[in-house]
Order: sequence, then structure tokens, then C-alpha cells
Amino acid sequence: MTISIHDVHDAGRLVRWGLDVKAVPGAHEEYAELLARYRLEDAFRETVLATCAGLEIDVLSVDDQGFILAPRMGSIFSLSTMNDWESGMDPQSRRRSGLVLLTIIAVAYPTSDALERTTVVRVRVSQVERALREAVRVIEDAEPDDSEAQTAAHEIGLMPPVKPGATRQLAKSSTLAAIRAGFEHLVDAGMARAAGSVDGDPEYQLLDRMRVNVREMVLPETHATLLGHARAAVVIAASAATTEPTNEGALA
Amino acid sequence: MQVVADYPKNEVSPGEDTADPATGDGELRADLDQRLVAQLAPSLLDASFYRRLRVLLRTAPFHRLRELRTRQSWPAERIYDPMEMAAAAVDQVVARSGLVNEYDFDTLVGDLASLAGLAEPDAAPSEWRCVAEWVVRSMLGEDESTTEYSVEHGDYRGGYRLTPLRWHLLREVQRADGRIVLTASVEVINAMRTGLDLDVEDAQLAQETVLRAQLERGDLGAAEDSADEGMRLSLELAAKMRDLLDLTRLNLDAVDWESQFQSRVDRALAHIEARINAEHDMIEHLSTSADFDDDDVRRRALEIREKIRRCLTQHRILHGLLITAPKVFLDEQLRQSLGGRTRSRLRIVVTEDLLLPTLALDLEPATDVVSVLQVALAGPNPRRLLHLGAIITSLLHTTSDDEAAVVPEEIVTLVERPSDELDPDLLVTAYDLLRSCRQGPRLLSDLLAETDDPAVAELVRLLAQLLFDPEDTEAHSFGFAGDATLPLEELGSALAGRTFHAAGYYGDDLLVGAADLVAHSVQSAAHVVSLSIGVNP
Repeated sequence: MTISIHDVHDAGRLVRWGLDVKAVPGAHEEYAELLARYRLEDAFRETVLATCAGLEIDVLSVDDQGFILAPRMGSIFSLSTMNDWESGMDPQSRRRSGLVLLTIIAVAYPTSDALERTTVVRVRVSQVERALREAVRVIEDAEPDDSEAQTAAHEIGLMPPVKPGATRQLAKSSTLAAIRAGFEHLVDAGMARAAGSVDGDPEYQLLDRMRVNVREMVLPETHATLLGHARAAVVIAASAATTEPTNEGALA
Repeated sequence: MQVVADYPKNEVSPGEDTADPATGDGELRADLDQRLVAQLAPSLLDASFYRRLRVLLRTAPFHRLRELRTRQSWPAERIYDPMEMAAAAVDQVVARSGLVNEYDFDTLVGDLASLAGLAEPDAAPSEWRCVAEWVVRSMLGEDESTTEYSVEHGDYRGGYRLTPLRWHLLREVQRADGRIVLTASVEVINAMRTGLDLDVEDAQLAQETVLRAQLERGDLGAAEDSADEGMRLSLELAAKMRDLLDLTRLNLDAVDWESQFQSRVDRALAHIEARINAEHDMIEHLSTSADFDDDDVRRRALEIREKIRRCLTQHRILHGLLITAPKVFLDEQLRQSLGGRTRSRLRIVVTEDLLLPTLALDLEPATDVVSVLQVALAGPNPRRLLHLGAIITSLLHTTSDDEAAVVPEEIVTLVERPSDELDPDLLVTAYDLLRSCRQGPRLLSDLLAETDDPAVAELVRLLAQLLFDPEDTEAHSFGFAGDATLPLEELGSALAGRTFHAAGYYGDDLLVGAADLVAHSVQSAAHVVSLSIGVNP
């Protein structure tokens, strides 16, 4: 296998296009040509993959929609802190913002099977609001008397759907504003498009890039992190259970 | 007629459960049930029966549109026919499938609204659009949370059970050029075609034989219908092959190369090549036939020829797709095994397995979980590097009085919040600090370090952010927006290319200076992208 300097340059160009999350091969001749080379030429593909590996980027998908890349955790191309996502957020706001995104995913792709279909999904802000309220209700029903709870469910349950802000816009502390902000982040990341509104209810189209990203990155990594915490909770509970009899024995 | 089951002696009737799987009685029962079904309704054991049943079920959404039409927002006495509009929508979407002018949501709604206008010319155009949008949305999915239709039907083969049937009528897909277009499913093409769940290649071969015979005997009316039918079959075959390639790209494990992919592609390729040859022959026949002396007959022959030519175009596109299909499979094999991430797919219900557990977590672990989600969902975020040359040039460029005179009057605007909510003294102090930058550009962190009053520092920070980005959402949420002109016309700010060193802040430091500094920086480079400033908790 012989790799020329020209190939290395072209590999870099393809990675460049992959990093441009709003570019599509159908609109850029060079992008389409490099994508075709990636699919047809083994040596070129390996050069591109080696370049990506060096940059700590994974190739999530290669198809007509483009060269979909994802930075590995800690990569220079990855968000390094939550403040990269939105500046000036307090921890509660960060949690709320993340839960809004998780609810958007739950509405658009209720099960992992839904992620196998290449359909562009339309989601409205009100759908997400309803799903979020319903999820909060489920948690509150399970723990109705815990008024001191610091859970997100408790916090979101207290948020109004609509709250006028100082500038006649929705205040950030309303759920509808938080959901719109979540969608706008997805639009900025090239994963969604605004699709007008239905009776004043903003609607968004979630693109294939979103589906691939959720399937390959978001669900596995979020699920693994959640399991880590669940395991920690189980370990703590188990530890408490093993120490209690000893104490009781001592008292006896 | 009463059918009496021919049960062996000491046998039970259906429904009595004495089966004991451990002794093999379960198998015996199942066998007896199958014999009973064979007597009562033998077609219930025939695969073709279930194909026909599924075709019937798949038309249910069309009937449902008709049922629901009087329960919508428009007056019940209107004579719109949503079922007919839906059927026409499928035909139109299919007709443009794979072409450059494929239907998107808005175009289809617009066309159907025009049809609604013809049905009820006295109604308001907004009502026509409402009807059309309801039809298209209904075809995209039966409710808001799914893009599919789903029903269950009984299946007596191998013991009675309910079998799920899922399908979609229309769906939106993204094309390579970024367009989002509507496509019709194989199932709905099938249902609209003949009402039979036939193998498409066989149907097309039969159709072509019929068409050829019709042309030879000069039956142009029937030949035209057959040409239409041939086109629909071509599109159905194209849809099937695209689905197979989509599946391959999504999950190679779901495709069996030996028994499914290779043979399917080979068969389709042979079929398409035969169709291309046959269509060439028919076009040739229609072009050279001396039988069409009459003008009307000649016109119809030309129309049929055009239809066959469209079939030919469709087949050539499909031929190109099929030629590259094995390469797609091999590429995916490489990519999915070597190139990309090779994690096994999770099978989860997002609400139950992720959303609810996270909602139940306390602040710290919940923030940890959603942080991972947000970072994973953000995708690649290339940091753009500062173009030092452009910044230095801007810094060295002094503003003359003449140039200052042509600077646009407003850079940012203020203040929709009632002025009594902002302490005027604090505001004046903040303005004074910022105006000191007219003498020469200064770092925001230096400005912040000059005041001991956190409220002034905060105002300076927000104003500097507004100078950088008039749409800055944080500043807007604080109350700066809209109507009055900020009295800092001659000032602007740009990214300084370094992080803050002011106590209590993090993020990108800004350089505040003459307004043309900002204008020059933005025009000369794409490096000014985003701003991240925050207050340390």
C-alpha cells in the first residue's frame, strides 16, 4: 500500500468536512468526491481512519448524508466542560438542560429500535413538555412524601411551563424556554432543523446526524454512566445493610 | 354448515388445556389444532392468505382519514375527501421518487391545499392548508410519537397467536444534498398498486408481457394503463432495493449476504437488465410503427412511449444502484468491523431506562449523567484558532475623527427592562470604565480588575458581551435588549485569544476597543466564532 502526500492532504480535507457539522456532500463537490474515494479506495480509507485516530475522533457513519464524526472523551474536539455547552449555568440549570435533551431523545426515539430507521423525526416543543411532566409525575408518585428531595423531578415539578421574562420573552426558568433552548442547541450542532410551528407550537426536524449520534454515542455512554451511579447506590445500600446487624448486635 | 372436528378418541376439544409440554402433549395439541383449522378454513394456513390480509390492514389509515374528517377543526359540512387526497399524495410522491423534484412536506401540503381549494372554493385558504396539513401529518404517523402504523392480526399457523404488523405510509428522509423529502413505503406502493402482495419482479414481468401484447394489437388505452402500472412496479422495486441497502448501512448483522443480499441483488440486476432491453424494444416499436396514422392514436402512442421512457430512466437509475450494491456491502463490512465504533447495540426504552432513573437522582450524580449526554450529543467542536495577524492589524489601526463619523450609530441596544431596576449610578460607572477603552484597546479582565464593586463588574462584563454579540442571550435575559441605543457607539469588542485572569470569572477574555476593531476582525477572519464567559460558582 503506497500513500502519497496528496492522499494525506485529501484525508485531512475529508476530516475537515466531517468536522463541519452542517456541510452535506450533495452541496459540496469536493466533499462528495472525497467521500466516494473513502468508500472505494482501501488505502485512502485507512489513511483517513489513521488521521481520525490521531485526532481522537471516531467515525460514526459514512453514507450519503456525510462523514459523521464524534470526538472521543477528552479529545481537543470534544466539549471540555459543561460551560462549553452554555456559559454561566449553575448545576441545577445544567441538570435541567441535560434532562430536556434526554426527554427530546425519549420522544423522538422511544426505543433503541427506532434508531435503526433512517426517518427524519418531527418533534414539537409541547410534546417534550408533556413527556417531561409525565416523567416527573411518575417519579413524584413513587416518592410522594419526600418534600426535601433534591431530585431533578422535584425541581422540574416546581417549574412553570410558561413564565414571562423581563424582555417579553419566556424566562429561562420556564420549561418551555428550557426545551426551546435544548432544540436550538441541537440546531447549532447540525442535528436538527427548525420546521416552523403548529398553532404556535415550535416544531423541529431531527436529522440523521442526530439519530446516528444518539445511537452510537449518547445512549451507550449515558447508560454506562447511569449504571455506574446505580451500582454505587447498590454498593452503598449493601454496605449499610451489612453494617446494621453488627450495630444491632452490639446494642443487644 | 357445522363442521365437526375429527378428534381421535379420548381427545379434547379446542380451548381445554390439558397439555403437558414435558410429556409432548403440547405438540400433540398443536397438531390437532392445526388439523381443525385445516377443516374449518384451510386458507388460514396459507401464507398467501396472510399477505392478502396484510394488504387489507395497510389500507386502514386511509379509511381512518375518512372517518375522522368530520371531527376536525373545519366545519363538518365541508365535502373534502381526505382519503382521496391521501391516495393522490401517495401517487404524487411515488411519481417523483428519486427525481430532483421530489416532494417535501411543504410542497405536498401546498399541492393538497390547492386540491382542497377546488373541493371547497368558498372556504378560506387557511382552511385548505389546515386540511392538507392534517392529511400529510396523518400519513407520516398515527400519532405524535411514532412515524409508524401498528396493528396486530391473528395467525393460526403453528398455533394461534397475535402477530404485529408495522408499516408506514410516508416518511421524511434526508438526501445527500441536505434536502428532507417524502418517500412512500414499499407497502403503500404495493397496496395502492393492485391490492395484492405480489413479488414485484414477477408482477413486472407479467405486466410487461401484457403491455407488449396490447401494443401489438393496438389496444392503446389498455397499454397506457399497463405502462402506468409498469412505472409503479419499477418504483416499488427501487424502494425495496433502497430499503435493503439502508438496512445494510444501518446494521450489517441484519443482512444475510449469502442467502439474502447477494441473491436479491443478482436477481434484481438480471431483472432490470431484461426490463431495460424490453423497454428499448417497445420504445423502438412505438417510434417506428406505421399503424398510427390517426393523429389521436399517434398522440396516445407518444404518451405511452414517454411513460415507457420514464420507466427506462427509473430502471437505469436502479441499475446504477444495483451495480454498486455489493460494494456497499463490502464497505459496510469494513466500516462496521474496522472503521467505526464496534460497540454492541443497546436495546433500551429511553424513558424507563434512562430518563426516569436520571430524574430520580440527586443533583451531583444527575449532573454527572447529563454532562456525559451533553458532551456526547454536542458532536465535534473544532476550536478555531485566532488569526493573530488580523488582530494586530486591527489594534494598530487608529480611528480618525472622519472614520468615527461613519461608524454606524448603534452597535448594541438597551434596555427594555424598566430603568429603575438598574441602578443608574452603577450603569454610569460601568459606561465610564468601558469608555476608557476609546484611548486604546483593553482586556476585559483588566477592566473587571479595576472595580471593587461586583455589580459594576457584572454590568461591564454583560455590556462587553453585548458589544461582542448584540444577540447575547445572557445579556438579553438580564434585561439588555431591544429599543434604546447603548451609549457606547464607538466601542466594540473581539475575542482576545486568551482566557480570563480576573478573579471570579472563567471563559474567553475579550479585547474592548474602537468599534472598527470588531468590524475588521469579523470581516477579515472566520476566527471569531463564539464566546464563553461565566461567573465561577
